[in-house]
Amino acid sequence: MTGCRLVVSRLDAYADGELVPDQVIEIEGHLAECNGCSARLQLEHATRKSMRRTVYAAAVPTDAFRERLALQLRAAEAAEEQASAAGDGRRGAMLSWGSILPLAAAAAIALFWSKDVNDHRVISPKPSNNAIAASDPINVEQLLDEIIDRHVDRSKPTVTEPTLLDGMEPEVGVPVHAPSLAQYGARWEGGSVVPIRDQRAASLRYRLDGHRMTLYVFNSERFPLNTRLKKRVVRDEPVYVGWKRGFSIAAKERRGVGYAVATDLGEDEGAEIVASLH
Amino acid sequence: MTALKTKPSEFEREALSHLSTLLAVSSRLTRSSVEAEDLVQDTLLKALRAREHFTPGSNMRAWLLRILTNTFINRYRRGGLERSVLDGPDADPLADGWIGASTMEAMRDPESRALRSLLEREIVAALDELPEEFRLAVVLSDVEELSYKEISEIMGCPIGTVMSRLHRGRRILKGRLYEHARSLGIVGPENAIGTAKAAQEKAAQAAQEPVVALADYRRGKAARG
Repeated sequence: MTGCRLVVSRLDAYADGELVPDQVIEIEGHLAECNGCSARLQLEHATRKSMRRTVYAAAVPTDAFRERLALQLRAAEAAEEQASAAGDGRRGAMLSWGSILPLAAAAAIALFWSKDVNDHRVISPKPSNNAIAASDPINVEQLLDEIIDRHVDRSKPTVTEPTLLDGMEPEVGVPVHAPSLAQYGARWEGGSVVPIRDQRAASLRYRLDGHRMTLYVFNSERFPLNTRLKKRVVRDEPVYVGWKRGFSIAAKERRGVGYAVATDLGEDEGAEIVASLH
Repeated sequence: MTALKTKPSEFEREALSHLSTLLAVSSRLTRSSVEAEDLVQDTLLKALRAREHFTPGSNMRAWLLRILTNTFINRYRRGGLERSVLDGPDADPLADGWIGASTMEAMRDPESRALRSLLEREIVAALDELPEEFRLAVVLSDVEELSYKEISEIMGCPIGTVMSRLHRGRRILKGRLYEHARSLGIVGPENAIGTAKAAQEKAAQAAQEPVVALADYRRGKAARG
């Protein structure tokens, strides 16, 4: 009779259904006669069942998440289709996403920092216009949504030592410093690199007077915020402000670096803080 | 402006039918619910762009899990999964799977639901403490019930490596759960180990197991092929 030792060494593979028929027969013969080994097998099965149940229960997708994904998949598919329509009649799949992105980025730069928010509505219908899909209002709404999602998220910042912030530069692609903002009574709490859309931004947490504030630092070419935010001039600097889900967002661009402040303070405070950055 | 379709495409419908799976695996890989959602989102957008490379009718779940794993490795772990620093046989009481029948009985069937849920709560914590390469192998096998071959394709390693990662991961996991069961009084200490010498022998023997199992597997393969 096959010994317990051999059976135990193969029990995992048996429970995984990875043994050949001869080995299965051998093991099952032993299991029929050995209470110890059948108990081991039952423990195997019970553990896996519990694991499946708990791992799934710990991560149930919310309806909001499912909807966000559906929207993003549709937007991406629509962008592909538009791009293929602009191509030379080849099938949509032939024009890869990779070739759309530079076009989209070019359109986004033109849009974000153009003088008039409404300019893009009259951009001449040149072929590159098809790439505007990547910065259409729905995507900008999603961008703002993510900025707010990140702001309300309470997970611990990865960096709390200011001198370590420059380690974020390779990821974010622009210089990252935490401005003191002490003149506003703000205290820096820490920073993280966060993914927003396909890009990465530095997220710097502040607390002032019982309010939370997140300052994002990013490559300004990648975030077409102004298509949705309103332009205003603070201290001779153009700043873009708006609201999303009850939070104010203020953004500006300086020397190729984008800054955005999300906070439950008013838009005036946000605009003032963002204008003070240099 | 782009008019968004109101109906889901075939791809969207099928891909989103695996959302629970993707989020479950992603959550255990990233150990963070926020990052888990990001990873799933990146995975689905990548899958959409690469959908011509998917063979209709083949296993989309495994295909998506491969993209998810690769995306995780590229984004968080340039150069591969975090390696295990554990080497050699460990001294866990369950290291070799030799425990008394009454202990196994007790762990399999804690009398009350409350006890079981206490034990189950520990599972996710115990999983999250495993080194990534063990954790992923265990999740893909025990939770997702994928074959060793599918797991080796997803993790980009030989089947023998999958087997040893599974073996070691499960061993550590069981040790943790056993300790937890003991601290909850579900099982008694008398079931634990025999003498120190016996434990040593068993640990030494356990270290041989992956090799034996792999040799068996190869023989099995040769016999099948």
